Amino acid sequence: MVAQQVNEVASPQPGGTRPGRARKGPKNKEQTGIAYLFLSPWIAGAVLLTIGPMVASLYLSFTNYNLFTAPEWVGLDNYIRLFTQDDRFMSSVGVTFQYVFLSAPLKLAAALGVALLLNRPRKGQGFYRSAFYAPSLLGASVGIALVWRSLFTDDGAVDSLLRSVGIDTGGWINQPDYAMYVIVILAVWQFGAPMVIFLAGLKQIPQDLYDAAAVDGASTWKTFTSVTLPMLSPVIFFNLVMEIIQSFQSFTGAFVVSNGQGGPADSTLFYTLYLYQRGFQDFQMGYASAMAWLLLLTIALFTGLVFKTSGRWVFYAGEDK
Amino acid sequence: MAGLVTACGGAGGDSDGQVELRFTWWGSDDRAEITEEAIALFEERHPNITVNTSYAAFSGYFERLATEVAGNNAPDVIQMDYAYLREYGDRGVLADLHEFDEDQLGTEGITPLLARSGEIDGSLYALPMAQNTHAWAYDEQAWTESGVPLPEAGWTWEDLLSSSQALTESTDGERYGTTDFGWSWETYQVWLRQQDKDLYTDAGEIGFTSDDLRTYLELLDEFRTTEAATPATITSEIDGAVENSPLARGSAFADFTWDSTAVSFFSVLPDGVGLAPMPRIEGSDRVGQFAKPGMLISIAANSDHPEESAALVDFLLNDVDAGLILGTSRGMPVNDDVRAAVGAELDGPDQLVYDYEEALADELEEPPSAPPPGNSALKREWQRLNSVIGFGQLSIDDAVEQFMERAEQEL
Repeated sequence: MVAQQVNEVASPQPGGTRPGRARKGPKNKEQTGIAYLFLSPWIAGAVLLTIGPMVASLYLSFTNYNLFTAPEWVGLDNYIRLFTQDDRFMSSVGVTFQYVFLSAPLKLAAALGVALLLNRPRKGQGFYRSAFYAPSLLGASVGIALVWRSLFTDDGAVDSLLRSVGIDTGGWINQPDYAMYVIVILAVWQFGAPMVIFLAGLKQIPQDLYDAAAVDGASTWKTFTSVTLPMLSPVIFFNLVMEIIQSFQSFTGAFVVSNGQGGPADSTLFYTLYLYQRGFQDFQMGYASAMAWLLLLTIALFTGLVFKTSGRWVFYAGEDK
Repeated sequence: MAGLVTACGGAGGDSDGQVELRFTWWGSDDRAEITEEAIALFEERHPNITVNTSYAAFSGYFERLATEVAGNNAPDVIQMDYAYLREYGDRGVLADLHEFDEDQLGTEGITPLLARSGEIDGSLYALPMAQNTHAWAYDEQAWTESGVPLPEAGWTWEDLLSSSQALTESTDGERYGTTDFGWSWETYQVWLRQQDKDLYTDAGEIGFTSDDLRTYLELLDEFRTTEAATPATITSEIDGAVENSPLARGSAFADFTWDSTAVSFFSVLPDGVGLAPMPRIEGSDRVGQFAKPGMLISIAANSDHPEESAALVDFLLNDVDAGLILGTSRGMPVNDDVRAAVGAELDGPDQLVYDYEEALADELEEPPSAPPPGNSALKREWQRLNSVIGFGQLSIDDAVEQFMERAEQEL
């Protein structure tokens, strides 16, 4: 009962019918109290581990802070320096945008493609689903990124394979023109999480719509664009927002593949990697905090933009359009 | 074992004297094993002291240390790197070791060139744990087979260039004469010192002019354009790990290195590694090489047990038994007695490094003072520029301008 109550407050189901407002009364008040009691570990965690540090970081972003001595107030200096004096900051922004615009759409396309394939009942379906989901479980780990690094190095497996069919690339991670793609491929390969969500979304599409389309003689492509995609759009929307947020914050792949350097020639200097270098290698925590806040604002801006355009392409069942 | 001894000590009546120290260092598992062994001997000799140790790989070590220090939770005894010494010393994190008596923490036996290397503005923030110096490591057998004369003491940058070109030619470009040393901030430092300059002045300003920088970058460029040195695609595989270096992977004949690191090349180049001193500038009487404190050891300023910490440091640096356990895992011992004792027991690659340093001993110069804060950012900028120039994305003139600008901002 309590669980249900919390669930209703926390996550109204998209597309589902909203439950009627719960009746007010002593019973309800008591339940709210219990709910808060159960929530308290989470609330304490959020305040102590998230909100507190965030406020501190906002303050630090206006200071010079080297971790060991007291922060020194410098006003907007850090922000001004970032935009006017720091070429590497600008290149890290460029690299990160390139990554977000490449990896997020490619990953979602891969996730949707495989979800469509796995949606039809077939033998060994469970196995395939697990197999495609596995990279998501492993992929964020340092070990896999190390393997990736050795796969794409000069004389690595990929290089040797390509050479055997006559293409000589001379390694990927050691060339500025290719290094980014190694990290993009690593990200795309981990499409399992959005895939599972797409699968769930596909199951929700009523069979009558497909039957109707079949009766009308719609082609497979037409059915996909006129039935599947619109019906799936809330799920696409959700996945897109999550992917954009995650790609902006991407760190491990670049850190491990480029050995923490962002090289060669800064071609994989992700924003978060440069932030880390500034904070933990140069002890410029104030500067790094300013970078963190700019990142937060950028993510908020892009999420906001996606939300803004969503009215035009996201359809909820039962909605009049 | 140590726990048992201390328990008996407690029963003996001086239970108040029990002290726990924290000691942190970076290094490999091998080093951890022998360090633990040495610590066990220390605990045996000081039954009232327990030493809790922790270690990590170099990458990540200083990130963790910084966080611990910021949280007022610094370990008592800290293995320190030269590059970070000023960063921590200037900010009051490290104890001034001058405050200890000679019988608490002995410095008299330590090689004079190194003894004061941890001193900044009159305060001694660290003592060296080992001595290191620059070297050119080369694949001795392959070089000999190529017929090109081997490097010898007193060779010049011109010699390096011409022999590297000849080496590359001898393999039809399959293998390059030398690894592009443009990534190495330290090689540039040696080159500067051969001209009585340095990376930084004593005041922590930049110690060279744009013209110096341009001349050096043009020298590097000559190595690349004549294929004497590895091209950027190969150079960018360098990540600090010995097995990923072009020398180890067989794409270059030689590489700049630290002599203590050179030992690791033997595991990947079993045919043998030769060590040559740094090339010189024609006519310069300075070799530019110095005795580098390989690793240093510091005591936290707010340690609750400064005396016990000093005893541990003294033991690690000056005790012959400890020295024999630790060997050359951190480089050549700095205490003369320990060094002699360890030197007598060496063989193989360790012997080579020992002989190399002995041969150079008279020429090695005093180390420069610890680099200023901002050094780590500049070193990274240096590596970036060399990479960008190597890939033809930036002209030397622009690189000089960018670097000098960056130096002004960071220092």
